Amino acid sequence: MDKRMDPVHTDTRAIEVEHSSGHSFVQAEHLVKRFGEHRAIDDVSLSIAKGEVISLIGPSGAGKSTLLRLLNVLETPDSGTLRVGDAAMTFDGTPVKRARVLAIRRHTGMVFQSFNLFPHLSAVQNVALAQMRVLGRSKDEARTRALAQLERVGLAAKADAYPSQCSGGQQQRIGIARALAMDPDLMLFDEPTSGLDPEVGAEILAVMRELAADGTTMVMATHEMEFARHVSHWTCVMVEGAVIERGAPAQVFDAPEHERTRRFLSAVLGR
Amino acid sequence: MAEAFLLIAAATGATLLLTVSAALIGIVLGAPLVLLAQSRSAILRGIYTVFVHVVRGVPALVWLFIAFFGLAELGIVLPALASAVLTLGIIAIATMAEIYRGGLAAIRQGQYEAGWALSLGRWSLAKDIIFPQLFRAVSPTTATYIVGLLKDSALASIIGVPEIVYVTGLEVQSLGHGLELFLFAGLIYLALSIPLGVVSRVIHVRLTRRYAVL
Ligand SMILES: Nc1ncnc2c1ncn2[C@@H]1O[C@H](COP(=O)(O)OP(=O)(O)OP(=O)(O)O)[C@@H](O)[C@H]1O
Ligand SMILES: [Mg+2]
Repeated sequence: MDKRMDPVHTDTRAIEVEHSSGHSFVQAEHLVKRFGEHRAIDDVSLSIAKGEVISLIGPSGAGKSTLLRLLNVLETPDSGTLRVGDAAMTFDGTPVKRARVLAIRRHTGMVFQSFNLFPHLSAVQNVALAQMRVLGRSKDEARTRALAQLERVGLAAKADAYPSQCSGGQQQRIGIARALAMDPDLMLFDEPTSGLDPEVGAEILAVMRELAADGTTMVMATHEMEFARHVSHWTCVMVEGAVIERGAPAQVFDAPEHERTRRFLSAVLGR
Repeated sequence: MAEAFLLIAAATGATLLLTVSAALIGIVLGAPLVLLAQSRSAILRGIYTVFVHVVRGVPALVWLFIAFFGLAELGIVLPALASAVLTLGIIAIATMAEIYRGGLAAIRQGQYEAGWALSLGRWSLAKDIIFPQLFRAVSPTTATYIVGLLKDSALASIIGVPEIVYVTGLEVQSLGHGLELFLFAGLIYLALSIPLGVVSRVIHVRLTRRYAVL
């Protein structure tokens, strides 16, 4: 019997698809990213449900940043598939369709290690700009929402300050407000605290902890092991472009299965 | 003598015309040229590099002679003023393109990435993010270059463009008083370049008062 005509078979597939889309908000499958001959991301699959917080840990150069940048297509994967919400893409080395990329990016917000604030715009302008240009919000509405987001990260008082007039921790909070103002469904954090003093980093972690408590779906690359352990629902350990181990933080941190994970953890935790 | 001063002062118009047109040509046409330098195509980037090096690697005076005497031999006879505007204009295009390229290189990749991550369109990214930073980055260098251009415009006297130096030379030939008349010419250049420098500094300080430039 021709499988295409098999109603049972079709039904099963339909159920599977529905199941996976009902379950996961982000679905990345077999992502590969090469830089020259080097495989920075080597066949990584990842599925994230709404409201989940995923931490990416692993040694320097493991591909944590690159993986985050594939999730909003700042880097184009060489192969694999990616779905964020209802926006899906398949990568096969051919040029990507800009509209598809934009559809994925519209769901995501990104917070950078080096903040990347716009230096010629004040804090509130940094947060308002894309709301007006991308979401078509009026100047007043964008400003009101920008102020609300700045308030949320504890920076209402700095609304009219320029980035250079703000400390590193304040700049990073502006960066978070800027991403949140676009109402993203998925927030990507690339070592948001690693350019900061530990004490200042704690301010950022406090903001992220609140976001997590509010049910924000988040993926974060981090070297803050305690934070990853207490805030994330799942931890992925990356080494040489691959996710070698994943699981609940308690399991990954206390009973890692992989020898490489143990070595990494003993190096960073000093035990 | 008084008449000589007046004639020299009147020649300021030609000097300004030459300077301002060459500067405008460079400021406007340098922008599309720098797009070649940013192109993905190695051929276009090569064309850019060759153009800029050839234009800037030859003394302005030589280009001026080529435009005025050389083209005439080919049957293209340009008036002296047009030759001078053409020559200084083309050099200004290459120079401004290099200034823009330096300014663009100073804008960190993270600025583009932040824009892309926010889904900003190409136009908004250029207009709202890149251009304002580029403008601030290149405005001091551009002002310095325009002052240089003002002084270079004196080269046009050699092919007979009736600008300050040419007219001063004529008057000195017929009246003498070379010291006073050329000092006067020098004062006119100072009177033009000093305010230009001051204005550009004021503009730059106002633009960048609130943030450290790159
Ligand atoms: N644009 C690029 N061009 C070439 N190689 C790159 C590029 N970006 C990343 N790489 C390489 O890909 C690998 C993964 O880099 P990535 O920045 O993702 O690591 P990481 O896990 O974030 O490291 P870190 O903890 O130091 O931030 C590294 O070997 C890096 O050198
Ligand atoms: Mg990184």
